[in-house]
Amino acid sequence: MMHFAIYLPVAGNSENIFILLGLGIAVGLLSGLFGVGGGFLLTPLLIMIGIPPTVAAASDSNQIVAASTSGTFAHARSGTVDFKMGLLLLAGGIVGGTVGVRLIQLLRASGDANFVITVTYVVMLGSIGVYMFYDSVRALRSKGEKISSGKPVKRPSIYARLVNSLPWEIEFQRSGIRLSILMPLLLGAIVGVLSAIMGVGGGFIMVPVMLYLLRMPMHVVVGTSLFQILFTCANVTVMQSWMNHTVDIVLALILLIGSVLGAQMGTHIGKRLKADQLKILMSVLVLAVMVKMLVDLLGTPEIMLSLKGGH
Amino acid sequence: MRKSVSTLFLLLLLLLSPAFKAKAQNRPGKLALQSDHLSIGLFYGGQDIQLKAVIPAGSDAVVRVTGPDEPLEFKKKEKKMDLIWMNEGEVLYKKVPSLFLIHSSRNLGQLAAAATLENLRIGYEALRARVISDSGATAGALFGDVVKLKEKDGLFCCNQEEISIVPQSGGDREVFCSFRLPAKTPVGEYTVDVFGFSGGKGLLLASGKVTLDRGPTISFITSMAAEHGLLYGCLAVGVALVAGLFTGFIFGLGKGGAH
Repeated sequence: MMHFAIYLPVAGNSENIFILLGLGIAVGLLSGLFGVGGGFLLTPLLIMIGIPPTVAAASDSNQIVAASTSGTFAHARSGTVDFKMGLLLLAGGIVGGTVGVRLIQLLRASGDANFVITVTYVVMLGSIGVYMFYDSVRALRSKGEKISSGKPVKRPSIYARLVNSLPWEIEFQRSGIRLSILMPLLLGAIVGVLSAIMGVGGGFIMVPVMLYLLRMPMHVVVGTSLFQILFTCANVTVMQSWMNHTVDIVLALILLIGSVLGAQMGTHIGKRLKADQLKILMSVLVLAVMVKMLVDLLGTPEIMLSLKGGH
Repeated sequence: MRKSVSTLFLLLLLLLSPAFKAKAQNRPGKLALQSDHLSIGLFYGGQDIQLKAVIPAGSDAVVRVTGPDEPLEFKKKEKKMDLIWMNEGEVLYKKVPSLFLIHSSRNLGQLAAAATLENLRIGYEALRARVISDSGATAGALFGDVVKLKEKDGLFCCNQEEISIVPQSGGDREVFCSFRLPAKTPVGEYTVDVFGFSGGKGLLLASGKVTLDRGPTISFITSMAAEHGLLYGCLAVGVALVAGLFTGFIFGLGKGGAH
């Protein structure tokens, strides 16, 4: 008999309770640190320890609700959640998610869904990871340079000029930026489409979007991203439970006990790190996941079959 | 006359006596299981079950534990664009036992010919013939991967471990075997068969049943998830929200508010 075993009723399996707690803490730490849900990491880890893929995906959405609530609460107390921006991104995300689900239906009908999803995953992870890493290293290196007087003023980029020309600009006090409401709505929708295709909460896409396209400061990005993920994952949990009956509440409970603690630790550690240090760490994590996925895709698998109902 | 009546009476007494009954139970054809009913509780992590049986003198033993057949559908990995391995296409096996455990005192090939083993449905080759019989050529080619997947979960095994044979004083041999129902074993009834092998021939000597069901807590949770999905989902989200807020509140005690 397995020591410290806990039986997961919907997964139909038992696991060591400390392994599950440890996974929860690790992913909660990432949530608090980077503002990501952690689903893109936790789901494959749960599958690796023997949880059926559909149960893994549905149950980790539930624990992400807890971790993101804990993280949002901590960030809100520190004044680093831009609720206005978060709600606009969420509104766009709901529309985008609906479009994304329809797109997946069309892809499935044509038989290309798996290929598109996998390639999207690898391309997105690779692009985001590489860009964030390059940008953070460049920023850290240039921190020591002195700014000499008399340097010519840099001309705003095409992107900046385009964004500034959009109508309906409003002030986002927490982020310290002024921006058209069309930007968060449109970007939220694009992230929603990608999240639906990849089956993730979207944090690891949303964080770079907020950083580089919305030009929000990193510490506000983390809290705002968690706020938005909370709603996305709450919706996914209810839908998965209602439509597919794949939420294992025992699994989710143990993961969330670990992740709410981890999220608090992550938030406190994150406050002590500089924005560029956070970005580098996140980019390394994203690139590591991308490399693992690539290795799995290119290497000959040990077993040529997997039970249907996979993620 | 009186002597034959008293001899008959003595024989009758012996037949009915407990000592003789105990000896009768140690004859080939009897199987004793440590437990024939298991309930899955919150801390269930699989269960080892001990078995004791008797086989004739000079025989080898095979213990087989099988579950009911079920259809299983798998996704097949294929190389897309000659570069990446992906789940493409499906394979259906119409009847795969939910559990298939074989513990033998010697290598199966040394016990009997393949045809004999197939008739008795012992071993992976016998299983293969039955499983792929109406599942197509692809299913046949990938049966080895089905076995690997099931072995990974502990639901299939075929080995010479956890079984020992001890000769008895009367010539028969006593078989001791420990088999494991892994945590992933579905609820249901499982058949435990003991075979004796000698001179290339095998015979089913004893059979028993083990029933696995859900305890009240597990039963309640699974029925909630299956029959009241919306309520269950809202409850799961509610619990997550409360846990998150509670932890955030506890960790925030003693610290200043937003700055």
